[in-house]
Amino acid sequence: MTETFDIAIVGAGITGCAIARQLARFDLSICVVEAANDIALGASKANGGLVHAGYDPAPGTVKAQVNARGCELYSTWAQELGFLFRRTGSMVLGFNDEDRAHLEKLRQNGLANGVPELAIIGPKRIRELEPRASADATCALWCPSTGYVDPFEVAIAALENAVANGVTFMRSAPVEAIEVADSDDGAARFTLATPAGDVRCRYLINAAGNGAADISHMAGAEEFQMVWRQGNIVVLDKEPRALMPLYPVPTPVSKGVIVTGTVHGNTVITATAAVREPGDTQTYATDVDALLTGARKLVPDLDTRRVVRAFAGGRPVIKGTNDFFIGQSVVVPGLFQAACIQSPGVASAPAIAERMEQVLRDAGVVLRERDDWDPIRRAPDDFDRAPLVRKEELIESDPAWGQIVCRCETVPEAEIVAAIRRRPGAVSVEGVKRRCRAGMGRCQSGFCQSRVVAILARELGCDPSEVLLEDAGSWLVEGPLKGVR
Amino acid sequence: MSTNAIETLQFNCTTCPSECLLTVEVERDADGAVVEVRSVAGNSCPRGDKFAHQELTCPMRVLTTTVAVSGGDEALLPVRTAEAIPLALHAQAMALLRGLVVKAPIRMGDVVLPDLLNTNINLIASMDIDRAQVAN
Amino acid sequence: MATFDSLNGRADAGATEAVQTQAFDVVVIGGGPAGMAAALAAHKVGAHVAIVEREQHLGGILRQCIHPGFGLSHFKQELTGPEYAQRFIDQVRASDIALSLGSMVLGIDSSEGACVGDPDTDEGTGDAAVHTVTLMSRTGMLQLTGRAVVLAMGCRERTRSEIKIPGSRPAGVFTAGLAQRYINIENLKPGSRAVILGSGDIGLIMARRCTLEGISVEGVYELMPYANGLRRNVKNCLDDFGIPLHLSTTVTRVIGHDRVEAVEVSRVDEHLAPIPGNERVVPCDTLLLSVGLIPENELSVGAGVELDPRTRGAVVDQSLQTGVPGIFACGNVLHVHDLADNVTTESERAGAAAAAYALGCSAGADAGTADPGCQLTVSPAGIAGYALPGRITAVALTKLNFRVRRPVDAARVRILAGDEELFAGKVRPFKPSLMESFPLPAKVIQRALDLGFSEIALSVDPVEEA
Repeated sequence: MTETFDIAIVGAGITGCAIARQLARFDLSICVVEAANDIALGASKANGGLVHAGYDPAPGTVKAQVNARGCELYSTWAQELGFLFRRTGSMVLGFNDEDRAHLEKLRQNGLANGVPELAIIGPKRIRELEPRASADATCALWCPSTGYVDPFEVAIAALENAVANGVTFMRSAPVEAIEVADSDDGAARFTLATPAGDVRCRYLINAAGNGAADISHMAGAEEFQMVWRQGNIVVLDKEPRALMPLYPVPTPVSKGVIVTGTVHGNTVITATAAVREPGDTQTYATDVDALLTGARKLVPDLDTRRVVRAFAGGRPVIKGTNDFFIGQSVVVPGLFQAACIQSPGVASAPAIAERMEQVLRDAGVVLRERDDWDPIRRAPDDFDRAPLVRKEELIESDPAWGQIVCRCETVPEAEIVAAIRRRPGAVSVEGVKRRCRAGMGRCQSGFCQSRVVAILARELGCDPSEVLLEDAGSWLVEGPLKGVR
Repeated sequence: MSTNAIETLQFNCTTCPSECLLTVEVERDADGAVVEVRSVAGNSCPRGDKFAHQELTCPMRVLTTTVAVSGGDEALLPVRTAEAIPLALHAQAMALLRGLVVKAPIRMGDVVLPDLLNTNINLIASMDIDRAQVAN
Repeated sequence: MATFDSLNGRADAGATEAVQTQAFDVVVIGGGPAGMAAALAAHKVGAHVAIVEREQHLGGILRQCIHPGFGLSHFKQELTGPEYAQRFIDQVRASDIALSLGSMVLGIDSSEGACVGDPDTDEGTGDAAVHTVTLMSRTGMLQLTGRAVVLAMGCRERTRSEIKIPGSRPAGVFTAGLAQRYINIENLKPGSRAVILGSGDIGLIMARRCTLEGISVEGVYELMPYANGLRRNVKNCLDDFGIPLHLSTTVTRVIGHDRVEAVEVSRVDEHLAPIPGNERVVPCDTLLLSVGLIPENELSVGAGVELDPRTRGAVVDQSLQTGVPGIFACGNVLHVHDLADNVTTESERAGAAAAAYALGCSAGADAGTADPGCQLTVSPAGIAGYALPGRITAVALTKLNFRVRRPVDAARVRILAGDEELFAGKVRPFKPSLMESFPLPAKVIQRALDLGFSEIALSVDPVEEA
């Protein structure tokens, strides 16, 4: 089976999904081709959800431009796409004069990058802004534009909106080979071979995250060498009040161990940075210890026993550059790269998409606005957040809204069913979790997993033994024990 | 001439929550079979003595497991042997029960399978299971 | 028995209609062994009682604890978990205790004027607040008001994340209770080859259960240098089946990208830290975790109840009343028990005390009546990990519960006030797997008060054996 599109985007991480959403407004046929069986399973998954303001990239870099712009765009994107976004502001805490000098450098950097309202503040103001910040902090860089999102939700919302506007999503379709026709005669130039079928397209956008080097190589374009700079992240249980993002003074390779609240009220500690074997998503005791120790430096009263989840992933880093690569391949015209999107990839995503649009335009791609494009994505009902009256309405509309499945996060059956039935919907237990938080809480699905498995089996029309935790091979149960011969 | 060996064993009595640690002297023949339980010490009541003798000749356990239910509001019925049966029979009993399906409704104490493996002991229901309600 | 299904026929007025309210003397949250015992005890003394249970059936976790070992002290015979539960279910069903099944409590509001009380029982309680319990079910939202509320929500299992096992995050890592649910309730086999971490009773029971169901158990691994479960369970669940128990050994890495392929185990030193260099890889497709239980107190905290960081349950007085007047707690939500029978005994006390509070009479609430001038806090000392109740407000014989932090062959319980030893128990062994209880005589409480103390300590102190 071969399908032909104007544009194929490889990778349904936050970058690919944002680009798909951005381009869906034009009169183009678009396909997002994803190796995994769901959205945001690579670098976008192993992410702290921070929308960094953009004061640390070196001025003049692509990163500096898209970070500050992306942070700005989040307000509009959140409104249109119906995802949770909190612009809380943040502080980089300094503990001595050396730190203060560094903070001043960061501030200058930020001003050059167009980050608004940066200020160096003293201990009194620090405590006013975040009473739980370390009393040892003597100074801080206050940055009002920082915020946070749920990175899964952003990617899912963007792709849902893209799909609603006609974009095709192909999952479980790892690109195995790319054939490039010699000349661009206006017909499809690229043919992507995948186990789910071939995809032909005129323009190819490489947003494959950690797979970007492979895609570029298969197309005969730039030879990137990926470096697996792995990070561990820890999620703590919910707090009565979510913490403001607190950063230490950054190191040359990373922003250091950051403590932040999340849109759901948890605390996230992110992230370590160590070069490890490609593909290694294991957590390490040393990393987790470093995170908890680092976090206590910023927030001394943090109860680090209440770990809900520890996870890890690799940042898509390309050897020899620290900048994002967003542009047309100089080797293979018609191939557009969004490569090396490491941190701050989440913060930059809307601006990367915007920039990609401009790159296509500059390359002569005809972008004609459709008159039926709908920028609005209606978010699914969130029972836990719904006011009492809305809860009543929901249960009245369908009793399954009154049937709690995940008790930690108060997720009823109907919300899980909706997560599966939406387009593109959840096809795994983790996919359900990322969409509606069933299993995301403190008991880590100890209570609800078997019930979610039953709902998935029913909705997908399969046997429970075929239900996956995540991707292929991640079976949860074998068949029945009793009533069998 | 006797080649019997005398062995001293220690194990806990499981008759009651006191869990007395029993010290048992046992005589075994050349094949390791128990010839005689010579002494039992450490028990604080006569049940410990009885338990030790039973344990060394033919350990008895209550078997608890589940059987499949049809037409019930639960998929499985928890069941038990009404009394302890030889531990050696548990695996055989499990194999036998794997294919068994009982029909709801069921009341606690109902006999699910009489005379399990000729032990004279019934397999009984541990819990009530009602008929499945029609989904609304 | 009454259910709300019929009472809850909602008018067609739509969304602006106020949530329907039902008034009770005592609202019990949780229909497991604790909730049922509390409800029955409250009902027995004439209180109008409701039970809210999130499952469609009463019985709680006992429904999946199909093994024997229950009832030895309460019923003087050995029962399975479902049998133990069924006996209480039958009593509840035979009573007019109102049941809200399939109902999840979203919050407890104890603010004064949160709701109007039931005028029929509006006597003797003065200006005590009425508690409003908001719940949801397939039939809609509902509010129950109670002069007293009994928290009986039980506990949850500690997860892999909380004990920070590093490695990958594949399918096949289950808490023991989840695996138990798959096997005993859902009729699904969670794997073929299991490693079990934790030798608490649940871990041991699951080792036997897996073996009987054809899931081979490669071994049970225990961080501590001793088994954490009852001896009967080590014998009947491991020894009977030749399953090895590896002490002072823990899982230090999960291996496998999609499904568990193996776990790495390591011996630990006397500080419980893995000893580098002796890691061993054990092939398996399933890792079961039986690494502790945590009282499920999110609702309690929301209601303003203060928790004891040691038990992670409420701080209560001798009548099991929390710091919020009229809210009582019992069972595993208060502190983790090892025997359901003890849960029953404790919950009957809580239920009776809640009823006495709600009905505003002191009959049947012997230990519950506060004596003016008696305000003692109780804290653990020595190797006692916690002491419960944490507050004593009456000069009466008081049952103190505690658990030691490590096993000792010879120790004694001492009651201390400052440097003064008010009481010393006899020398005997103690182990962490057993919740202990100690009757604190009224005269010891009186003595502490006479000496002017506001705090006593329950200390368990090892002694040199003679």
